[in-house]
Amino acid sequence: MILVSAGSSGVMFARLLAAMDEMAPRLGEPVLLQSGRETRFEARNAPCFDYVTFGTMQRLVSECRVLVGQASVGAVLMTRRFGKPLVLLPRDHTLGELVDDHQFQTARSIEGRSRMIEVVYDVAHLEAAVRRAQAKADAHLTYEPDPERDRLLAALRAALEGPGGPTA
Amino acid sequence: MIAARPKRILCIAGGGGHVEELYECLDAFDGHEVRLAHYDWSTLRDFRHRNLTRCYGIFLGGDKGMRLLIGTILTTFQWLWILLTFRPHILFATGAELAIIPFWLARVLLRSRCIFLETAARKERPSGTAPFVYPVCETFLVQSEALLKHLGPKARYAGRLM
Repeated sequence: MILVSAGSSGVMFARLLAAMDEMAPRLGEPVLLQSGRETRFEARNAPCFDYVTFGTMQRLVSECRVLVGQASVGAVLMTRRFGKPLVLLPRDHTLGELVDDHQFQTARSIEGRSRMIEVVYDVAHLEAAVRRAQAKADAHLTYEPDPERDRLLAALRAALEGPGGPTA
Repeated sequence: MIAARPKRILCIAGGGGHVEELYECLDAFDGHEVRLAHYDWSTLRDFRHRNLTRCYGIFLGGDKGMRLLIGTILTTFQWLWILLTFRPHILFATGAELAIIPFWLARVLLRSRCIFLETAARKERPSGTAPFVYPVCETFLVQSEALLKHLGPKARYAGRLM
């Protein structure tokens, strides 16, 4: 199953949803669309829901083979946690899809960092990226170890030590 | 060697990516008593982690005018109740603006230590929350070295989640 996530925002990401809905019959496996809080996307070729709870989203990501999503921190972290190939399309603030360009910043920073992540800036290239992600799922590829994440968690553990705070 | 005593840690998250980042960081809090405060009850009512013992749903008022004023007053009382009953040694947040009031209250009233991890979504400029919590933070971490030039000497880069 290919899970398409537009995040929990109430602003529709129609470019992503329409492109994935259009290509769904050609992808050879079910496609499930998630459109965002209080949004209504009229999908023709795939089931669509607006949003679900954190636990349900974790279950859907664990069950999918590929996740296609907006270029958000949440999409990257949750998909990595379950070892699934990821295709990212940043929301474009010039099209009113977001208030600023931080998804472009996220996309640029993550691009090329893992073989499991494809970044696409134009929906015309989305289908090819999804097919490459499907091939990675077929090949059971996994994420590379990330020493920077381990370093950050070690810094947090160290920050917990030391005195301070209420005594009672 | 004396083992470190468990700390009471209050984590604060808004919604979306902040929550995902916080979920990753909870792995670092093994052996401590950890609680979470958030305002997104519709999606986080089934939020679970092995280190988490309790979640608080924070009331959020309107975003302008009287609704903002009344909402802020009610939220402040709710924070006071949480802080005075849980008495956290440490407050931890991953970029959510929700952290501003409790960081100041806990620092001033309880001398709690505040740890702020700037969200990974901020690569070139700090979030709007950063300048408000920076003065009361003991530890201020960023996930992009490009942010350091916008912040004071307490800020440091010590790795990133993604």
